[in-house]
Amino acid sequence: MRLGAVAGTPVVEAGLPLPTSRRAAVRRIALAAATAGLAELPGLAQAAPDRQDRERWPRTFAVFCDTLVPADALTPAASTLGVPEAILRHLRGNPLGERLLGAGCAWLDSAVGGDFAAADEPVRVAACGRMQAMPWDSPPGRFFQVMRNTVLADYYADPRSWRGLALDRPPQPLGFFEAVR
Amino acid sequence: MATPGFDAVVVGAGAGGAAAAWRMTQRGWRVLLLDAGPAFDPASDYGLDRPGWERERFRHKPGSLGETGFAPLQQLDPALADLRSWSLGQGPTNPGPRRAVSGPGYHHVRGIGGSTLHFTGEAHRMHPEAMAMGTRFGVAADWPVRYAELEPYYLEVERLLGVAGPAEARDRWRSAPYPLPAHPLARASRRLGEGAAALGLQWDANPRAALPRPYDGRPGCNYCGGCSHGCPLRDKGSADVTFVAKATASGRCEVRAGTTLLRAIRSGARVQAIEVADARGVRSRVPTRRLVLACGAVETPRLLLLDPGLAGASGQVGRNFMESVSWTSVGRAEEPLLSFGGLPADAISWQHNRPDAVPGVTGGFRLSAAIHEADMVGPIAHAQRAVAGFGREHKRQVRRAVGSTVAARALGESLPNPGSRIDLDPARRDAFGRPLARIHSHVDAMTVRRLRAMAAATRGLLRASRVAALVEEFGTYDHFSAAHVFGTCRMGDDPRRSVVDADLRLHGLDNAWICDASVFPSSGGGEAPSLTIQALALRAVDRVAA
Repeated sequence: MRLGAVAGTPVVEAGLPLPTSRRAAVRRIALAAATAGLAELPGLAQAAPDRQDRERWPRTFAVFCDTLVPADALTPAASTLGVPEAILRHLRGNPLGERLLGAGCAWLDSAVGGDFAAADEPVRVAACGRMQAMPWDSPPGRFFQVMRNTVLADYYADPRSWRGLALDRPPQPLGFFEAVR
Repeated sequence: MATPGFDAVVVGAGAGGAAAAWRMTQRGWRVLLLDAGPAFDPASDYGLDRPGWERERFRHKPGSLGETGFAPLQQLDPALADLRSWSLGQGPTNPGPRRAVSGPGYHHVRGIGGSTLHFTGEAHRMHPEAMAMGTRFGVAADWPVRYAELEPYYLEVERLLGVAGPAEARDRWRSAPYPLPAHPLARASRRLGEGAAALGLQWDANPRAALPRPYDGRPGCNYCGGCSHGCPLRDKGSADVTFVAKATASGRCEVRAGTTLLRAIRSGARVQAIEVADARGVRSRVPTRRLVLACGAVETPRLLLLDPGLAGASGQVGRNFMESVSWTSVGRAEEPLLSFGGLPADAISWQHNRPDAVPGVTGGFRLSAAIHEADMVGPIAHAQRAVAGFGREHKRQVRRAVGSTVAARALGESLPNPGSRIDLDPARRDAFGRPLARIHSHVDAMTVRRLRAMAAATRGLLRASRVAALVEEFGTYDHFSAAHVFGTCRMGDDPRRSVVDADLRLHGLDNAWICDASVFPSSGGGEAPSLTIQALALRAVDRVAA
């Protein structure tokens, strides 16, 4: 079984530029797959954010990422590992992806009465909970699902997130003899 | 530009092509083994020792993932909501109204070793009764080769690969034991075994082309669980480190990666040469006395459809497409089981595998341990799919879940239907301007019945194994996701109803054969096909020499 970044969306590897680094390529492919079906999302193709909105996205998005993956006693928050910046970098040049990002950030700001990044954590968590419950076919619902998958993949690909896991190293070169004892 | 001739050219260096090439070198023939994809170096090309190991899965190289088109898949029936795929983390994984292509859909590798590079390495013999589906049930077609004829070839392949298997043969009689003893079962598979015992189900060690101890110059497995990522140790019996290595060592086999077959040049009923293009696009003509096509049940029919002189007049090329019919249930145990480790698919139940084993359903299925094949191994998979929500509690639950998830998978018979076939895609072309293969797939009513039985079996096995909390289910009803594909160049005695004869020779041609699963008249009840492909390939070469 192989699930795409969002199952049900085909992973289209052909036609993408050759990777400059494998990790960057993997992220780009996942984002391309995740945004592949966005053209049919009602209202998204027409969404045209203004410059003021666009300038606020990085901050809103970074705090959104940290709301999904906050720091705790064992491991850091998503932004500490550079997750939001990496995602934003790889969304550049993907017009539909950028529109999804804009629609999501605008919804988050609106949901807390203006500035999601400045809101207290319980307020942000409640807003994200409402967003999570929105339909897949709505821009906020799609934003949440796509970005949740992408943020979690970026975060848990970094060994600094592995503290406290039973699996805290790559499978090779040691293998897991202990699993068959 | 012409190059010196060969006794045989084999196109496609996967399971069947590699086995055929090796056997030909044993006969003293000079062989060219070519593949459109690249060569892989197990020591450096796979990523299991790197931090990004989980994200990359199998590390494809440029050219190793062939392109395939898909015709629109069927509308889904709201009444079959119990067969929709879902996960705790993502909800419905196909929220749309139609069946969807999951990832690339057709999971394969182009390259030296083919899809054995990312296969799990299950080494299954066909159930003898699953080779007579036409006579017994009026579906698919009978195999023109009997199990008894294949048995010595099965044994030979098992010995070459170093298959580790159980002492109990059950319905697949054996003339000798497996060459290696079965692997120890992982903790999670032993847990499933407790459930199987409670249900009265057989639960055996799965025959595996992976080494429990050093064998034939290859090391033993270290149970990393990463077979489908590509095995860096070379203990997994992929075709590159077994058949291709031995063929090359003979001094009689030349291997060319990145080489694409453009056309076969015929004179009457004989192929005289082929035209190929190398990775730079440089074309050359290669004279040959024999041609073997071994590109799998999607690409081989495409090559034939592109050349009507090869396809013949039966109209059967591309028909009878059979895919992987599967259902996987993933649950979470209360305690850590280190389920990320161990040998993937190390345990199996053949209880439902006989084609009439399930009342009211034609075609059987097998049950197996499947956490690695479900790709529920590392923290990314668990965070995205096995644990719902977000925030600090999500983090805590991910820490609890990794190593505690257990999966049961059912893989079942796929029967031909008129809606499942391969043709040429009118909209998409390859680098040489030729149409791509296009997959048509339809899930019919009998498949739905079989899927229902399969889902009941996986859920029941997890429940009986005290893995009560399901976190994900994934199945064929709403996703096309196939690694095992069959049937599109069916073998048979009647040239009007088949593409190759019992010796895998193309009807109407004297010196061209097909050695891949496209020749299978039926799929079997969930058996992995590579061992049978290889046994058939050895037999086909022996029949030529006879």
